[in-house]
Amino acid sequence: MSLVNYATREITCKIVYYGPGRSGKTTNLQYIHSRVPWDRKGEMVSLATETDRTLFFDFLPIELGQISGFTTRFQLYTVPGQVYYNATRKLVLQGADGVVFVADSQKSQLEADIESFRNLQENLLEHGIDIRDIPVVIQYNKRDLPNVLSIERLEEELNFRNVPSYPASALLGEGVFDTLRSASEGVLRKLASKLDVSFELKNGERIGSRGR
Amino acid sequence: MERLDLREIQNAFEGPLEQFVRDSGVRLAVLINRSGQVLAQHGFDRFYDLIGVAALAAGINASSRALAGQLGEDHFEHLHHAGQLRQLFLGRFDSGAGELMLVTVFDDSSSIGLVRVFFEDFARRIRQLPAMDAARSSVSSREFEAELESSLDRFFQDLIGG
Repeated sequence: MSLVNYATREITCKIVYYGPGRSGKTTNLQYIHSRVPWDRKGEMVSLATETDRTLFFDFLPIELGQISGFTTRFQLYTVPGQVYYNATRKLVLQGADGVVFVADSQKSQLEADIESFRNLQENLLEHGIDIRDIPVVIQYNKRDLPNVLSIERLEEELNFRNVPSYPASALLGEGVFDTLRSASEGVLRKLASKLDVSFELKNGERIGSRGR
Repeated sequence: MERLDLREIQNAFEGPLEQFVRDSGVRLAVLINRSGQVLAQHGFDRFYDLIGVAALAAGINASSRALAGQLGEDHFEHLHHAGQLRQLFLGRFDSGAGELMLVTVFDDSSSIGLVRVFFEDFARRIRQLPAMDAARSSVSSREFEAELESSLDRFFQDLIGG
């Protein structure tokens, strides 16, 4: 659920990095955390197992800056990729404004990618969201490794809705910000289309005053 | 995409929160929604500490609800964690603005009994706020969209170039 605060002129949106285990979701956030200036980010919180696999989520708040006088912030989350943790994956997806699907480009991981994408659709549906109604960006990660599938093949297998997609090597930082930019744009465009509507009290009585 | 706009209701949340802090003697208090977004707060100096706490508390609330579901309950009312010096209380309640949660930290200047009593009072005040409905706002979506692309270009050039 994106939050628009007219009093302090702030917009806060939630983007969830989704994908199979070890596809590089946490690495995306770590790279973003390493590059965003200190005054535009918070601490990166990682709830991980003792072997550094994501247990619940990673969380990174970042500030993009001002758009139309609104300070725009994103809360970036990852989900645990392992099949075992579907219950927690579903919880993290709750309230998401956009999704980055991080696919592992290696040939051996194609089935895991497809299964995870199917799982994303199912979990969104359980929250009452059709995947066609939420901004989704696909990242084909690990392009620096040998034995990767061609982008064309991956597009064929995963991107049948023709959403924006980017090749990436998150470990090297390649494609990380292209992906984030695209997801941010998708989320904010969707938000803009509804920006003319706000809440007021049902009976016409107001608390506080409207400044604009 | 769900959305919550807060101009009119923000002050309404802050009043009861300040009252709760005064009555119960807690050190920190933050009111969040189910997604972990901050609606009102007291006592946090650093913005990013605040939203880290909010995100973690929303995670606790979500997993607690899921556990409750597996036990045949709709939800658990409160969660309480006691440390050596500080204690954490998380209380959820339904309101006109959806499911909300009060996260509060206290030390020996308060007690769990006191916090629970005044939490109930706080939740009642929030529930008594008039319901919200959709209305027009003067913020222009066209203006926002027009600025969007150039703003994003600028942000990401800063990040990549910096």
